[in-house]
Parts: sequence; structure tokens; C-alpha cells
Amino acid sequence: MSLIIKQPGMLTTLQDLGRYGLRNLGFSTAGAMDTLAARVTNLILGNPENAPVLEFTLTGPTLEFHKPTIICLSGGSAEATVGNHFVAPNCVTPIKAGQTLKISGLKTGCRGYLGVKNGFQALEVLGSCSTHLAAGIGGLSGRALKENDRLGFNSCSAKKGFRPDIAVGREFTQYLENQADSQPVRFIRGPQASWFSRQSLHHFYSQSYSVHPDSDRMGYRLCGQKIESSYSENLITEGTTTGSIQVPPDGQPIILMSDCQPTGGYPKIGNIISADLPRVAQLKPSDTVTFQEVSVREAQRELIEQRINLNRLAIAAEHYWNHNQDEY
Amino acid sequence: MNHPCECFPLGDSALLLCFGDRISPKINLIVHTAAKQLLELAYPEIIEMVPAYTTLTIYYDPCRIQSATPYEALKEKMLNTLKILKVDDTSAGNHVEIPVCYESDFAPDLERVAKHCRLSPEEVIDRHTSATYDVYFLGFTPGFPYLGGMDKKLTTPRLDHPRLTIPAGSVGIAGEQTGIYPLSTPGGWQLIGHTPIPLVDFSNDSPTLLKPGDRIKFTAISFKEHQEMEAQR
Repeated sequence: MSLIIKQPGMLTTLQDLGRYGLRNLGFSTAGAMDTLAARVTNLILGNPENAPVLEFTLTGPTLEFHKPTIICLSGGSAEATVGNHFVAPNCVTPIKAGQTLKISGLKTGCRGYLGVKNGFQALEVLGSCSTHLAAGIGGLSGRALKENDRLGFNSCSAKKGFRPDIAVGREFTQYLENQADSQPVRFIRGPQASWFSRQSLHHFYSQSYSVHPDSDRMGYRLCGQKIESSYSENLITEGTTTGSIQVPPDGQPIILMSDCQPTGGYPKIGNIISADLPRVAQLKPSDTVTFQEVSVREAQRELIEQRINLNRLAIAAEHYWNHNQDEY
Repeated sequence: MNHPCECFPLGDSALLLCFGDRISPKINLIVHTAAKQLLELAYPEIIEMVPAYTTLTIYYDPCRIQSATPYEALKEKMLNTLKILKVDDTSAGNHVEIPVCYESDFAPDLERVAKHCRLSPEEVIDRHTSATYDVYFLGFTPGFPYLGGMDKKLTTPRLDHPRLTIPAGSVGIAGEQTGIYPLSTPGGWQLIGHTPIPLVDFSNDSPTLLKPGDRIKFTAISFKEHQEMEAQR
């Protein structure tokens, strides 16, 4: 045992990048909602990008460490402290045995990620450590963390006097300059886009939608101008993916997220582009969002660009760890 | 043979291959044949594939495609690869027998279904066990089969008020469909029986009893046989 959960925070789960290869058997992929933040946390720590991290929602956990380690916080910006010290985001912060990390509410965003050097120990189930809440598998007993739960990791101690290097954090995040939060979320036209009237498509492109409180890891429910469809037939159930924008008969779109079913029977007006999906994952109830259509080509270019930047970050982090190896 | 196949992007990391516009065993067999053919070719850019009634969804990594237009490149590759498909029964999966106890403890809605269909409960069981069902695909929850082939005479609407929990293993009817619940979930299906055989086992590398493309038959078992099979688990 390496740490005890003193307060679990809201829906705090262990997640890696998801469980792939089983969608044909009806499994959702699960996995981190903001895959970019989960990757960043791990890469900064010098972990494999798929190492299990803690994902928390709006309110973070309080953790009592019983072994030394080095942590990194990423995602929505959290107010986090160890004793009297603030923990800066996207930085490496050493923690000593006996110290308590307190993460309170998020100031911006909806989901935060906490990684430890070498990753949290979690049992791999069907090829992934991600918590699959519906099936009750992966993570810690297939569920969200509770008070007094214990998590393990391989310890790593920093030499006396080592302080987190804020400049390093800034250096890392320069590779992640993303579109500003106020920019529209980009999407590609969906397979059933032609089922919707010209006016409805126009509404979808030009109106802003707010995030309904019933949004969760399965999907984001949006509220706004009703999208009327001009189709009379039902869709024959077909494959969906994370980011698919389904429009049920009430005309209020739903964006499918990490825990979504792999098939669905509602027509899809569009699909959020992969590069912008992490921004959707950071929307919280009553936030507003607007959409902008792009081509598949542009979406794929953006995704490739994002991967290149992650590679740059990984190289910078590797350099940092090599350069500072005497400190650990 | 040549089969019509249309391709649509499903976002930037998946594409949808569409083989028809109605639910039929024939079209679904084409879907499974295409999936099998692509699986054998093991293209590295393909992450996984999900068959449904008339479609095959291909999930891929655009970063693994050496092209300025990865979607267009993969689309062309898919349509070329699938131009000629040898569709026959070899693409179908296994034959699986599923023992079901239709006795009253496990069949709270059997009387209602019988009444609705103007049959006796015995006739409902007879018709339910004499058909062979195609597993069109799995979805909804892990291991949940979408089955085709139910006797139309057994068509019964869903319950007006869905149950909050349906025990795992329940066999039910909803409209023209029949199915089995692998996990305990809420649901509005008319329950006519229960199988003691687990449909999912998360500790197994192959975690579901059924696979897309399988064919199944239900066989009636007694309450006592059900107890014995359950005890053996």
C-alpha cells in the first residue's frame, strides 16, 4: 500500500487510454475522458503515456502518501496543496512519505488528472486498467474510489532540498498550445447529416448550446434550439464512436464520450474532431459551446499536429529526467 | 461476387461501410464476411471493427496512414479489398445451444405474452425453441446479442413500465426481437425464461459466450436442471 484515500472527491477513477479491441463484443472503451491531459501527465513524469492515472471530476481527492513519489497534475486547473505549498499544474512535484495532497475544486474545466512516477498499480483486465463502471471491471474493483481505499505504486524519492521547477512546467506546456476555450468546437459532418433540414443544420452551426446537468462519462447532453429532422424512417442501429453527435427525437444533441455504447440507433448529425474532444471533456454543466464544421482532411491534420506536439513534449521530458537524474 | 458498399467518415478516426438499408440475414452475412476478410489481412492502421445489422465500422489511426488524406486513402483501400467477397456460410460463426428454463419462477411475463399472441404458454415455448437465431451483432452492454429470426407470431410490445433491474441471464421479447440480458440492467422486455449459462466472463480473454455471426438455438430445461447447471458454475 502506498497511499490512502482520505476523501475521494467526485467520481475519482483509475483510467488509462482505454480498452480497445472489444467494441465488437459490446464493450465501451472507457479510458480517460481528456486523453490529452492524461497523456501529458504521464509524459511529464517520464511514464508510458498509457500508464493508469486518477481522473477526478470537479472536486479532487485528498490523498495521504505512505511512500515517497513524484506527482504531476494536469487537466482542469485545480487548487492543490501539500502542507503549505501549492502544487503547480503540469510540473513535477516530489511528495514525501507522510505528506497529504489536498486537491479541492477545479477553478476551470471539469476533469483533473493525477499521475505518479512509474504509474499507479492496477490490475489489467482485458488489456486495460481503465475503470469500466457499467461492467464493474478495471481500475480499483471496477468502481469509483471511496474513503479509505488504498492504491499502490513503486516509490521514487527526490533528494533533500529538491523543489518543483515551475519553469519546466511552462516549457512542457508550450507544446500544448491549443485552441482557446472560447473557440468553437470543430466537427465533421455525420453519416446522417442529410436527414436534417437545412435550417436545422444552420441552427446547429450558429447557435450556442449549454451542457445539461445529466451529462456524464457516457455522453454530454446539450440544450438549445431543437434540431428538426426531415426523415421519417428510423435509423438501423449502427456503429458509433467517441465524439459522435447523436440527435434523438427530442432534437437535443448528445455527444458520445468514453463510456458510450459502441452502437446506437439515433441519427448522427456530426462527429467532434479527435483533437477537440479533450476540450469537450472539460466542459461542465451549464457551460456553453458552439460548433464549427471542418473537413475530414483538416481534422486529421489537427490530430497529427497534436501527436507531433506530444512527441516534442515527450522528448523535452526525457531530456529533463536525464538531466536531473542525480536528484532522484 | 460484387456487393454494393458505401463508405462514410465517422469522425476522423473511424469509417462506416454500409452494405444495405434493411435488416436481413443475407446483408448481415455480407457484413461478417467483410469483417472476416479484413481481419485476416490484419492492416496495421485498423484498430478494431464493429459489425452491426447492415454496417461495418472500422476504427483506425490516421497517424499510421502515410498519406496527406488518410481517410480517402483508407476508403479506397477498403472498397478495393472488399470489391469481391465470397459470401457463404463459412463466414458465419459457431452454433451455440442455450438452455433456458421457461418455468413460472423465471418467466414472469410468459402468460401475458401467450395471451397477447393468442397462444398457450406451451406454444410460445415451442415456437421460441424451434427457431434458429442469427447473432447479428453485440451491443448495448458487453455480450448483449441482437438476434434475428424470431417467429413473428411471438411479437409482443415492451412493458409499459420498465423494470428497474432484470437479473442477468433473463430471456425476453421486445417487439419483433428476442434477446438475453448478460448483465443485470433495467429494461422493458417481456421476460419468458432464464438461462443458467453465463453470457459474460470478464476473467476470460474471450469474455463473451456469443460472437457476432454466431447462430443460436434455445433448448427448454426444467427447474431442476436449471438449479443443477447453476450449482455447477
